[in-house]
Parts: sequence; structure tokens; C-alpha cells
Amino acid sequence: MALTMLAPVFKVEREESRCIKCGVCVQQCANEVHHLDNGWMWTNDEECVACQRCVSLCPAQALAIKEYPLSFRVNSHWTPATIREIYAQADSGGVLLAGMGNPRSYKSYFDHLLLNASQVTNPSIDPLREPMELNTSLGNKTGSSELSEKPLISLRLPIMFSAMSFGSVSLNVHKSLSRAAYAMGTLWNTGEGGLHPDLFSYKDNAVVQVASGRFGVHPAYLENSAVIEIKIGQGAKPGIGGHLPGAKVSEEVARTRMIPAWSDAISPAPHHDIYSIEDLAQLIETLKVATGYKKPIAVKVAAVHNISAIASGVVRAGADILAIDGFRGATGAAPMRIRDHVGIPIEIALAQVDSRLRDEGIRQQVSLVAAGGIRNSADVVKAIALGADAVYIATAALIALGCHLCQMCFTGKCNWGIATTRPDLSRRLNPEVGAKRAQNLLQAWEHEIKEIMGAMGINAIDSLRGNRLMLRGIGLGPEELKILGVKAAGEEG
Amino acid sequence: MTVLNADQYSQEELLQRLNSADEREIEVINLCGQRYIGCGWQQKKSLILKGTAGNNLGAFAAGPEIMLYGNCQEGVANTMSEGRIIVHGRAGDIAGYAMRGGELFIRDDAGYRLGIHMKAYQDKKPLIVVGGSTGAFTGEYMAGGTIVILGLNRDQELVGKYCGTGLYAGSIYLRGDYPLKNLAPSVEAQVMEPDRLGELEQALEDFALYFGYSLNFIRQEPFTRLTRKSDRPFASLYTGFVS
Repeated sequence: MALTMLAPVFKVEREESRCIKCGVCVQQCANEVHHLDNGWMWTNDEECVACQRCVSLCPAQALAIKEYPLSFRVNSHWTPATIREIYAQADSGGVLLAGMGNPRSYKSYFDHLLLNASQVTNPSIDPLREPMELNTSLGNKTGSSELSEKPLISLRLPIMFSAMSFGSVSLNVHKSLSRAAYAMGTLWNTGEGGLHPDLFSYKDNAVVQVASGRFGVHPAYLENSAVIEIKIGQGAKPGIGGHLPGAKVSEEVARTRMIPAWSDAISPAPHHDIYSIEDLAQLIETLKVATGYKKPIAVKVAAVHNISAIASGVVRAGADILAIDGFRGATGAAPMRIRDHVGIPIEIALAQVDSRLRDEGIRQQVSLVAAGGIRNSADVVKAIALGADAVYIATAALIALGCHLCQMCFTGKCNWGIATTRPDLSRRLNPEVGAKRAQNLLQAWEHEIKEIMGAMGINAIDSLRGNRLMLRGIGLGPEELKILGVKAAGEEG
Repeated sequence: MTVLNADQYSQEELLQRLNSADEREIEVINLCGQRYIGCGWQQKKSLILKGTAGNNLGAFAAGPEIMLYGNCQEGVANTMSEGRIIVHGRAGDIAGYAMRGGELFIRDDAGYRLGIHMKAYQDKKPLIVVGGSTGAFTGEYMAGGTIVILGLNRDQELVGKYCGTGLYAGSIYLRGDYPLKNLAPSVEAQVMEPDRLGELEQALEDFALYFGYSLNFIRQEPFTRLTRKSDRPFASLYTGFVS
């Protein structure tokens, strides 16, 4: 083996007095960290990604994963991670790959926004005893009546599951999320990998994506959907295409994407039929013509520097829904430098776009969907108060299904059966259980949102939408407050 | 057969009439750049178009047979999965973008990025035959299917620059001389035995039939087949490590 300077990152600690040598950890670890040889347990720490699968399943609670006790000399510029990245590139000459969302310590604006509540001058509302309206409709709302050719989609709550393709995640993830979306009256999103025929029955809850690779895009795919989403970009990798390695393209993935099994699946960075707003308008119109004007057409873009001008163009191009994915958005695989350094926060982008569209008088033509790093119901409420009609969640949904955020999705060896297409691993995620857990998450958030709204004295989510008076900034500078369009904590108004 | 005079309708009306016509065969005359004709059609309807077709003719379609007497603009057969389009004229850019089945025959030249991102799966094998020459990035990211470029009556290079860039499946066939410098370094060029043209035979026969060429004339020049050089061209591009 060639010399590598990469020491392990994690250390597996096995309490020998507890270990019963049952071998569960050996079977469960696709990274082949655990070994049982002639009654002797040993571990290969180098391969450990801290996914915690073995820890969770060890019947004797004999395992713990700790940080590897390797101390580089303290240096606040050349951190251990920075040094390791250089070692990895010197070993391989490759572009560094990363999974999930940007983990770096940039400011989280959600954590610098506080919510309002009613006291004395207007009554707060108890959601357990009084009706609360979270029903949200998405689409172009300038239509006149039922004769209007502008289709709207109705959601029970303003939270949808964001795009994750079959191939990047297992079919059981799609089964779990589609069932949960159906049960909760909301939408899930196929991502750009096509719609598996087993899931055609969830078509009324499906957003189907048309991305640059056009994988699995054919008339039946477009028809079996509630919304068609043109994917221009995603928050984890703005300006970058996708590359599903051949190793993840199993027979089932191949069938859904309609490409040969085990071949690489490449999505180019741009759609080559979209080089301008006018071209985007044509693709939107083409899809509307192809589906008889029956479905809203969404356009998903990553939050980048000039997002408000881009958003204005997208709306004028005829998009009925505009999804904006902030720089915390996740991915199955992205170049690390792109994931960690490109794009802007969704909170900023959302406030900017909502203001711009209102200023231009075109806000009613489009529904805004915020995505990228929404962690809990408070983030949802803040996003809606900043101007979103609804939010997309993906990382939170995967965590509900068992993801432990080890960020190694690109290996295809997800021990939790999520970011893998290996049948032996995929079946670890039971879609019945997954659907229930995802549904539980949405129910819990739904109730929390009602509580928060009730405390504000608001009984319909429409009254919260773009209502930035319900927000106050804390620890933000004047420029940030101005862009977010919120007052500082303590400011009256 | 219904005959529609495109002059008499707005773009929307024309599409409505075309979509609601019951007959199997429809003819449109005086076409002048109207877009989205045959978009998403799944019926086996037959369309005869006279004039110039606008962007995205037959896009996302799965079935129709379209005979165009005239030129077409950008995006003909964009993401088409079944059917046949025969263009008695030239085609603009991105003809056959992400086509996954069906056939596209173009009598004269085609623009930039012809047949990029075409894909094949099982019995779905898209085919594009161009009688003239093509612009830059022909067959870029190609992931399956067949492109044939004949260079009949040519007055420019057979293919533009960066032909086959990022091609990872499928074949491009070039007839006669071609500019070697315009081929992507990642493709392999192989001259074919004249009596072993394989899948080309039928494509050439059909082309000759549709446009009144002599098959012998077409076959006078040798054919070169372009395919990918390596199985996993991007295998060493990335490095995954425990970060």
C-alpha cells in the first residue's frame, strides 16, 4: 500500500468486558471497519465515518465512536481539516468530494432572528381549541376565476420534501417520502433521476424534475406529476452539474433513468436549451404545451449574488413557482470547494427576492419556495415571515429516516440504507417505518407552527407570509437588517 | 386529411387546432416560425408541415411522424422519446437534445450541439442522420444512440470543433473526410469496413429513400465510427476521503 499521511479521523472504542462478539457490527458496517477473526474482534479505524450504525445496533452497548486522538500542533490558520485535505489531494490528484450540506461556521441568519408574540393589546390564540389555517396554495395567483388557465396546487402545510434523485438515494427513501407526502397532503420531489413505476400511484403528490441531463423524462413522467420543476441549480453546488458514478447506477436506477446500468450519469452544468431568460421562457412554455397547461411549472435556482434580478427574470419567463436553494442545501456529492464556498444564505436571498418581486409588482405571479438548511419549525416560520410561500426540506427529512450526517453519501455505502442503491443496504430502511417517521416529523412541525402563530395572534399562515414585522434581528448590523427588511430587537414598529 | 393555413391563426390557435384535430393526418401550410408544434404528442398522428418550423418542434414527444418541407429552428426533437421527424431542409441548434428514442432525419446542415446528451435504453435507441455538416459540440455528453453525419454537398468542415466532448456511450459516424483536429481527445476514431456497416445500413437506406439520394452515391465514401476511449473517463477526477 502506498504511503498515506491520512491518519484516521475517528476511533472505535470497544468495551471488551461488554462485547459479546455477536458480529452485528461486522455485518452492519459497509465500510468494513469491524472484523471478527477466530474469536478476536479488531477494527480498522481509518474507514470509520462516524455514521453511528454500529453504535446504534450493538446489543451490548459496547461501542463508542470518538475523535481520533491525533493532535496536530495548534494552528488557527492551518486547521487539521485543511491539512488533511491537502494530504488527500497529494495522494490522489483529485477534486475533493463532499456530501450533504455546507458544514462550515458561516453566520446562520435564522439564529439571528427572533419572533414576536401577542401581549395584552391583541389576544394570542390557542391552536388546540381554535381553528388554525396552514393551507397553502402554490402557483400563479393572478388568474381571474375557475376559467383561468393558471393551475394552483393546494398543500395542507407549507412544507414539502425537496428534490433527491433515485440513484443518489435509495428507492426506499422515495417510497418513504412519497407516502408521507400523501398522508400529510403535501408534495415530494423526484429529483432528476426519473420516477420509478412503483411510485406512479403517488403522482398527485409528486414534483417531477426536468434537469439538464433529462434523465427519465418522457411524456408519462411529465403526466404523472402535480408540478413539473425545471432544475437550474441547487444550493450545494450552484453552477455545477451532477455526476452519478456508474457504481450507483443499478438495474433499477437504470430503468428509471432510462440509461444502461452501471454507466456514469452526467448532468451538464447548464441546460443547453437555456442560455437566457427568453430560452427559459421557451422551455416553460414547451412543458406547458406538452402537458396541456394543467400543471404549475416550477423553476429551481441556487441562491447566488444577483438572485433578485435572476428571480425577476424567472418570474417574467412564466414560472408559476420559484424555488430558491440557499448555500446550506445538501447533495449526494459535490466538489467540496463549491459546496463550502459558493452561494449565499437562503434567509438573505429570500428577503431580497420577496422585496424585489413586490417592488416590481409581480409577486402574485409566483409562489416562492425556500430551501437549503431549514432545520426546524422555527426556521419554517422565519422563512415564511421573510416572504416564502412554502419551504422544501431534505436534510431534515433524511435525518428523520435515520441519516446521521456523516457526509459520505458519495461512497454509495450508506449504512442507514439512505444514500445507497445497494440492495443489501437499501433494505435497512423500511419504507413503512420511514413514511411514519417522516410523517411524524411533519405533524410535529405542523403543530409547532400553529403554536408559534397562535402566540403571535395569527390564525392563518397567509397573514404571516412576508410579515417581517413579526421578526426582529439580534446581533445584526444595519446593512444586514436592511437587506433582511427587519427591525432590530428593541426597535418599535 | 385536414389542411390548416398557419397564416390564419395565432400561435395558440394553431396549436389548439393541431392538438384537437381527430384525423390521423394533418397538413399545415404557410408555417412561419410557429413554435412547440407536436410538443408532448403521444399519438401516432402524422403531420405534414410546409414552411419554416419554430423552436422545439416535436419536443418531449413520443409518437408522431412529422414531415417538414422547409427548415426548422432550434431544439427540434428536444427530449423526444418516440416518433420520426424528417426535415427537408436545415435544422438550427441543439437538434435532438437528450433524445431517448425515435428518429430525426435532416437533409441539409444542422447547427451547434446536435444530439447532445442523447441516451439509449433497451429497445429505445435514438437515431439522427444529417445530410450536410454540423456545428461545434456535436454529440457532447452523448450517452447512447447513433448520430450519422454524411457531408453531402458540403461547403464547410464536416463537424465543428469539440465533436464528441464528454461522449460516454453511443456512436457518431462520419462519412468521408473529417477534420481530425475537431474531434475531442476522449473519442476513438475507427474506419469501418465498407461491407460491414452494421446499424448504419438501415439508416443510410432510409435517408436515401426520404430525400431521393442514390444509396450507392452515399456509400462511395468510407465511414469512420467515433466511440469513447475509456470505460470510465471520469474515474480519476474525484477523490473521496473521510473529511
